[in-house]
Amino acid sequence: MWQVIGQDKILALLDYSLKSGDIAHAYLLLGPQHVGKRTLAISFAQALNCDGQGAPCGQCASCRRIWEGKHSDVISIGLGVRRAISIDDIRELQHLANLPPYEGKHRVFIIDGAEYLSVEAANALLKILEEPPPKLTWLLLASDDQYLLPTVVSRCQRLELRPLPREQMRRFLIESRQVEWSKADLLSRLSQGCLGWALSALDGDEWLEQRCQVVSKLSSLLDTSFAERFDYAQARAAELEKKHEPAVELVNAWFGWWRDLLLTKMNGMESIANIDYQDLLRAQASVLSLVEIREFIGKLYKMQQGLVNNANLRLMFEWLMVNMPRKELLHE
Amino acid sequence: MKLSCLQENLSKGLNIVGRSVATRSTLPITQNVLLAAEQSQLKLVTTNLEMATTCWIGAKVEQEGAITIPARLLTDFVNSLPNDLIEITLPPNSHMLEFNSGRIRAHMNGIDAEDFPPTPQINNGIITHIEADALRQGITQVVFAAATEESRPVLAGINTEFENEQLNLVAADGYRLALHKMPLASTIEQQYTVIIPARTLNELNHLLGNQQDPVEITINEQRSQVLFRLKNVEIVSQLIQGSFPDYSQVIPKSYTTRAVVDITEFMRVAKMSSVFARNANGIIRLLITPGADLNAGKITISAQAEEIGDNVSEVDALVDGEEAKIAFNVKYLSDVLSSIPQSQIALEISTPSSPGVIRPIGVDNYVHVIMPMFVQW
Repeated sequence: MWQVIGQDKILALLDYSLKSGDIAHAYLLLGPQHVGKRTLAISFAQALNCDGQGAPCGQCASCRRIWEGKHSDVISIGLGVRRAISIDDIRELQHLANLPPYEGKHRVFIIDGAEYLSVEAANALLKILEEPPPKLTWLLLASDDQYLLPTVVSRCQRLELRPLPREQMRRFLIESRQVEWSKADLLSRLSQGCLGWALSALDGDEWLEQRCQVVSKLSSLLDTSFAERFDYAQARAAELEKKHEPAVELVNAWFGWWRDLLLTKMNGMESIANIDYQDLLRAQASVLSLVEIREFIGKLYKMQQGLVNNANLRLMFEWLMVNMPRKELLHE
Repeated sequence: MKLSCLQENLSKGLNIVGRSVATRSTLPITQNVLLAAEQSQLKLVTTNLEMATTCWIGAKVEQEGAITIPARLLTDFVNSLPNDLIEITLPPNSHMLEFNSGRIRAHMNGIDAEDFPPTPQINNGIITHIEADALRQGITQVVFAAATEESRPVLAGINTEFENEQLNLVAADGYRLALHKMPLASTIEQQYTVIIPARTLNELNHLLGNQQDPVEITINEQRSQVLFRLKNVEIVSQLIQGSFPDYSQVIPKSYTTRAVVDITEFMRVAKMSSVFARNANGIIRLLITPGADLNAGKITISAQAEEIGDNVSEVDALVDGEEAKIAFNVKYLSDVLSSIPQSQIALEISTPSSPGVIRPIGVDNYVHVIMPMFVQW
């Protein structure tokens, strides 16, 4: 039984490959963060080494060792705290690549975050991908293939993981995790189809609280004075200095809110993410014009670009605040 | 787990298995050594996923059990203990191993033995035996010629051919080739070839010094692993997958000049030339002159380094054939000369651009081929 929820097409393909014994030497698993690439990779490694019935059974010793990360034939390298995956990591794997499996049936090397391979590392990897040794499968996990060498991409079988439909995720959260309906609904909307994200948000309750604070704050700025907005810009810049990831997350929260405003304006309420703020969304959407919303989303794109280019955080936030429409809200 | 053993034995055992501890590994537990108390022995196991070494040492076992302990920590600690009885205890449901020896106590935090990669079991397959001394000489004479980089994986291994009652070891790195033939102590029915990682044979070689009895070699049916069984020690190694290049074409069938020379003298002169050659890509030039009338034949060895200086020396040789010259990398020449136990070698060459062959005089079990270097004469 596969531990993977959704991705039926990919599972069908892999099942067929397993049955016919026609396993590619390398697969490129593409999909947004938390969509389930790692889970799929581990499950596939289990299937290739499973001793039980209906691979991957998840019960046999081999499946359990792989799940716990103890199997010596399933090796995973990732970014960890580093900025890039170095050529030394690949060389180490290159050495093992030419040896047969140690305890299992099939070696699986997982590169989590293949977009972070240094150029030298990617070229070293290319050399092994060109002359694949038997009984070895590489699983390259990446969110986007545009950061990978095209020569590497062309030597892998592409598997694109799709975000999980909202319905399916809600059902899974309610049935398997006993989450109450409203929370499951909110998580399925916020996660944008990434189950891993929803599950980690579920495990850490403080995350949902934090998100409430963030959304309350950013949504309250529409009808405030410039002084208050500049305070916000200054506070965020101080808080997020040299923290790239949280800054990206905050901009994504902004995107989420304005996307919802756009959807509300267009009468697409059923697709909004911040379902717990629908009254405020309605109120704000009613005073904003479609053009204003669209233009501000354009500004957010620029902000996102600025983050990539390492622009001054405070300047960017202040610029965003100046460019955000100011509207009086009708408070009921 | 509860046992006692002598510090000397434990230290020796850890030294043996310490050679296959992973140095840098994606699987952290492979930096540990597995200790398992069973019957009246303590079993020590390490693996780097390429080879696994198991060693048994005598111990008084009161209660069986197993745990893994960081190899470095354990070895350094045991080595610094006086030679005395060590009591080792692992309380039930604990990962904290306790050591007691005289007035010394220590605790070490370990990882569950269940998590340790299981050592591949090789019970049936092709079994043969070989004298430890013969194997040791064979390994010494070929292993240095294996490639050290990974660009061609099969060349990082030793091509091992079993042929009825003979064992051939072949190593090549693209610039040189070494072939050693030795007799097996027990014949095998068929003929087959596997590639054993050079590192495994290197480590095996270190352990063969204390081995009196023949070594048992078992290759599993899938030809993916090999087991070397020594006294109280077993080494299981992965076999490199792939096929070794056909080397028979590399060994020249004929020569125009053959020089028989004394190894000690040749070695001394080569070493002297290397002082200059190391600044000139390691190039030394050999000019072989046959004897005429009353003069003996000789080999003239020269090395010159731009702007540094040069050196020319001669050694006497019994030369057969015409005058000939060839240039070698001095390292390759001294590597092979220092691995030959006999007192004389024959150097066979034909043109400056064809490989040179070195054979020991008095035995015909070893051939070494060195590719020449191209130089202006």
